[in-house]
Amino acid sequence: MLFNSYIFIFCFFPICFLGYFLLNKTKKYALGHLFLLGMSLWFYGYFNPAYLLIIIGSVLANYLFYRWMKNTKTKPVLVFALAVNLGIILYFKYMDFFIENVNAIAKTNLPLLNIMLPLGISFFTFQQISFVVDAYRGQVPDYDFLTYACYVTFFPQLIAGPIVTHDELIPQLLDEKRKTINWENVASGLYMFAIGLGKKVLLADVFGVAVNWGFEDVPSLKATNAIMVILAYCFQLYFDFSGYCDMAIGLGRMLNIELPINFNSPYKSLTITEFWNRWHMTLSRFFTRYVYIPLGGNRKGDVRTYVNLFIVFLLSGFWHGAAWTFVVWSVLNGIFVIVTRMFRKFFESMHPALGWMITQGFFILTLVFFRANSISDAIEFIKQILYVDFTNIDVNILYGFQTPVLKFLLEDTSITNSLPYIYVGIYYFLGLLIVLGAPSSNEMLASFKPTVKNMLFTGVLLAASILSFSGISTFLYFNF
Amino acid sequence: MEKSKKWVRATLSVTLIILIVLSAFIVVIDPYFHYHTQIKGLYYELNNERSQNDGIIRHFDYDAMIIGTSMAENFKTSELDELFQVNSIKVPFAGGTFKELNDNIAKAIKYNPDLKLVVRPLDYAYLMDDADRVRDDLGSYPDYLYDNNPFNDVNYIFNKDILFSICFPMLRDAASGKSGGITSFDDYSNWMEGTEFGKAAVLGDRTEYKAPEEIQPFVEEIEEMVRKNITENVVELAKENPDVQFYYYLTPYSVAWWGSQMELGTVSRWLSVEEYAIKLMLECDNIHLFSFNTEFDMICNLDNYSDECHHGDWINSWILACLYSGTNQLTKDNYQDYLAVEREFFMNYDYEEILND
Repeated sequence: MLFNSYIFIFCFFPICFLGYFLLNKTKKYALGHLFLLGMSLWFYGYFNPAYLLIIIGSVLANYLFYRWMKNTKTKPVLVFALAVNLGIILYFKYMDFFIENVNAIAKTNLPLLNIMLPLGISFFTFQQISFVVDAYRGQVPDYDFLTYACYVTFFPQLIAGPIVTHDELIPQLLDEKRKTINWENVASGLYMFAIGLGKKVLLADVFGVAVNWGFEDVPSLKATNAIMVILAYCFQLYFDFSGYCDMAIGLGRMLNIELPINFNSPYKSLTITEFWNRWHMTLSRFFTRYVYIPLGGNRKGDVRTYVNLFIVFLLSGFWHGAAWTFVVWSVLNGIFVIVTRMFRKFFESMHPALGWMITQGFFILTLVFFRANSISDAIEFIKQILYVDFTNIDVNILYGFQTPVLKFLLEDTSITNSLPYIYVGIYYFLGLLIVLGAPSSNEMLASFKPTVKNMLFTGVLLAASILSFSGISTFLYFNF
Repeated sequence: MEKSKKWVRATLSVTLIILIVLSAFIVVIDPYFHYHTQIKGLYYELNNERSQNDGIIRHFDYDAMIIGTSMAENFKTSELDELFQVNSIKVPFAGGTFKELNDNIAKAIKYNPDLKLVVRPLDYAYLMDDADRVRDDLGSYPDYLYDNNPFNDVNYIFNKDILFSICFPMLRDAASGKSGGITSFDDYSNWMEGTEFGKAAVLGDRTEYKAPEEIQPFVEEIEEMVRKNITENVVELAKENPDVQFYYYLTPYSVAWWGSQMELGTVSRWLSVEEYAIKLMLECDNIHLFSFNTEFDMICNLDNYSDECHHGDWINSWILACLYSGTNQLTKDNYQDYLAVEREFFMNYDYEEILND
């Protein structure tokens, strides 16, 4: 189920919210947890009921590992637990990728398994890896199965994070003070949810139209369109992912569960190191805690630090998807982080504006690899920019930004008659204004007050977003 | 705490009020006729077949219908009305399968007991389709309009595209003096404007007709597919509704289409498929079945076509006249002769001739 769907907003969440707090009123909190677990499984299974077997199996297995380690704190159990978790993710996410590469290298013709990738598998697997590692380290208190299952499957963070650790979430689930409706949390949560929903539906999806068009036929883009498309992707990715996280944080808050922030205005970063401290923060935290530090972090000299950083970025690339494009994207970022560290003084003495331009320019360029269908497509895309053949903006980009409201207001007016591409300008300007000029949604949440202005802002944003879930169905059959 | 509670209530109220007010525009104007027919004073453009046909079928006042694929888009209901003295609608489903069309005829009969006449081209190339085939390859189908589930109407009533791209422009047009009305069914989905006809359009860059590598036989599996498709999507409905007269015809594709089939080695199979389908349909007295495949002058004149299959609207007009007069109607008495003439022609035609001037 998607947050940005009618069923979630009009049916799922109202039932979940009311049911959870009504059951908690009976003081039988296990019932509340059971209900929450059931709702989360409905949320997850709505995509495909077959996925439920995988997530239930994964939760059961990890809870057994945890109980096992409670009794025998031995390394082989941990290694076995890690192997099972990594085995699951390797099979579902990387098996076909592996076969493709074997076929390419060994010139074999092994058939692909066409494995269906269960949604959010990377998130809930990593979350549980952190749990079993902490259990091995003796950092996990006694949790009952129901609470643990509730934590892993907690629907706001289940599909796309943030990656929440047990010590953040489970104590909140067990806190009796959080079992009654807290209207301040509901208000601020609703506010945050509306911001996230608006980012996703009103911005990311609009930029997405140009992006989809642009990456469909890269060789015919030319410089102007290639630049427009990659900038659009830069906005789309951020508004989509951070919007999702804002919605997750908002939903959690309405249920009195604080989720960690995952984005902190990354496009305001002046250096690449700062950028990675602001972008997908809970993933960086995971890799820092469970890979970088165990490898020695920065305690074993510069060279080992660089190697450790490189390993983290390499793994991060694979985590993002089973394709070499993600690895190239991540490794390029890793190299830039290492170079920045090597020449820290040089980068620190740089004018902030130049630092910002280099950082963001570099990241945007690497995004070409993140989005492209193949490395050769990505290289072609960059070539299109480097050919410096500037043309008009393609009408297909224009169409994407001619959203119904803007079109209704502006079409056939003197503005669009003299500036037909104003639609594109409005969105890019708005995007820039939000990522650079506006406070982050976390800052907005922190300073939230139940004012009339915020009420109107939230109410209108929710309504506008809901009205954007559905479009006009068109059949791509033009006579013949 | 109390202030926050009030804030939440107020915020949700604002959201709901906006949604209710804006959705009221859609429900009242109802550009897809989901709840009612057109209202006075507004001009309704018919331009989205899958979204509007369901409402037209359910709510319009009619006693005859033209339904079909793109082959039916150029029909003019005014001509049908004049010939048969009926009041008809046209509901084309471009690319629609036999099942999709049959389901919509069944719906029309269910919602409109006055329906007495149905005109429908039977796309020749779909005769041996899977009986349950529907087109899920052409885009998202607005299922929420077709079912009777009121809850999924949220897709329609909370829809800013419909609101800002259709409803508000309709109101603006009305405010600027445009009189109310609706696209005529003669013009609805008519694709004549700007379409090129003739040899160049039909043949494209074809330079030869190759001999077939293999002749495709009419095997049992195909016979079974035809039986299921025709029985379930044509015959059964006619048998269940003896008071409705079904004027059906096999679409007359150009000789160039037959040339392509010859190249594929499927001409004989198609003719056998047709023969079997005709036999099945002639079992129903209320199916008036026609075929124009032996009108060789017409199908060999590529000026009548814009591609191998699609003909110009003058052919549609002529077909309607034939349906009325009974010209080229197939009966139990004459269909074997028709098939023999047809087979003789298409099996022996020199398709290279098409390429010569």
